Amino acid sequence: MNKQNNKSILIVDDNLLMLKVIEKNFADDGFICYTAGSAEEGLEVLQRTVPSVILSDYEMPGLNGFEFREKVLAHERTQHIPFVFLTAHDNTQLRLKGLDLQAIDYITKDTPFPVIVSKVNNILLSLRQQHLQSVEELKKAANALQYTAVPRQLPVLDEWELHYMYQSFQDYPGGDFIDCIKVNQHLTYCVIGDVVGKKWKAWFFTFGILSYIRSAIRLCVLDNQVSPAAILQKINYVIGEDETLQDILCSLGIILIDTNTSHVLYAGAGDLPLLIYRQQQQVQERVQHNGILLGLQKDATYTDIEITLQKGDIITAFTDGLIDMKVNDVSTTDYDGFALYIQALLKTSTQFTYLKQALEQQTFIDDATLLWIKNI
Amino acid sequence: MIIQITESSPYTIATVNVTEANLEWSEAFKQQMMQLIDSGHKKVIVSFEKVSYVDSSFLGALVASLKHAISQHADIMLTHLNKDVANLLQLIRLDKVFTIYPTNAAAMQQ
Repeated sequence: MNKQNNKSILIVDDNLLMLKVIEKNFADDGFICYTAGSAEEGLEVLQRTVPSVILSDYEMPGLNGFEFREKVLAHERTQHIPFVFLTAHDNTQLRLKGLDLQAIDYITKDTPFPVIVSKVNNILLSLRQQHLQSVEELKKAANALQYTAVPRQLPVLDEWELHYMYQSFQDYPGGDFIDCIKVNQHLTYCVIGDVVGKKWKAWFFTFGILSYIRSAIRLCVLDNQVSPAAILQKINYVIGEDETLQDILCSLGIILIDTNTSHVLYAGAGDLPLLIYRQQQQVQERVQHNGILLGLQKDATYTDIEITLQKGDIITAFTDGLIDMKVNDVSTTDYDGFALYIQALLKTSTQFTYLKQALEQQTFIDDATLLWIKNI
Repeated sequence: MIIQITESSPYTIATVNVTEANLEWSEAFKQQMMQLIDSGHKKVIVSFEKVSYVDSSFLGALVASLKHAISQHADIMLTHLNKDVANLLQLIRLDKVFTIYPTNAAAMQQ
């Protein structure tokens, strides 16, 4: 598996001595190396991993380097891997043919090994810089459109405290979103959700979904239908009807706060169970709904759960990015462990800033979002 | 191949061939599952015996495969989920939409 932030290389050469020496030079420079003695073996390696770069010989028994390149280009998953030819030939015709196949560079085999490593490093650095520049341009465009998946400002409510934490994955916007919609003097809806997928694709669809949610909430309230479950049902139906959202799946939790009472109503669709911290007893409860992800079945039904909060009680709702982590470089999912961690933090302090600071020190492997609702 | 296919008529066992089923593999998995269903396989058992971790993108691909299977009157069953993955499916209520069995043999007895 290609590790985060680590450089990896697939080296393909039928000369096993050459293969070993090149491997050692790249390994000494910190690369994770995959080696293959033929193009066929190289293709097998690519079934298991996606390296940062491929360095391949041209003349090999079986598939030659060009045929190997064509096969790499034919697959969506591998076609974007930078490809460099390593060859004994310094022949213009061969170079042109390789460049037609979108090979990034040619390196002749008489090049000193440290220079080969430097050249590959330079290629990776230059591609990374181009990539970062493109991402920056996209971010600027998104900012100009004022597309944000989190509220700029949360409503201020009498006797209730609302906060959130949002951390994007490696600075990419993702599919997580939060919103708080105050529909009248005493009713406020808090929503937290996650469009399935990662990075830009998920981020793009969050806006379609968020628009539906905001509209559905306001239209339902206009019709005196304040139930979060009824709202979920409507949103789910509309997503199922909208062809542009056919492949989209989304988790969503809706929490309705009525500031006239100490009750909240909650309905969920494929979101993680809420946690309620009872300040007086210093215990934590888990609230699990019965609703499936939005977009899965058009006729799915959802139900409301009524929760009574005493003064000082806190609801935390969060997305799956918070429960995924790497332990000894192995990815794992641990809801129970995260729930215990939250409880331990809240036993120490029931201030949101304390929890937020603790969470921001963690490293997440997806975008991570948490909503905080406290009866004060 | 992200999935390794074994025929055991009328069942088709698709063993997920990676340890970490994540974004890197989700698109390829979805495509191969769609092809499998489109080529007439009606009872597909997806075995997670090699998988220790599943991320949300891969779960999305799994659910998209199920949606496609339902439209083609095919069925997808999940087997050999480890404790963490089974727990995650239960937490987000995907246990309500997939039929889950401990082993391939148990799935084939149904």
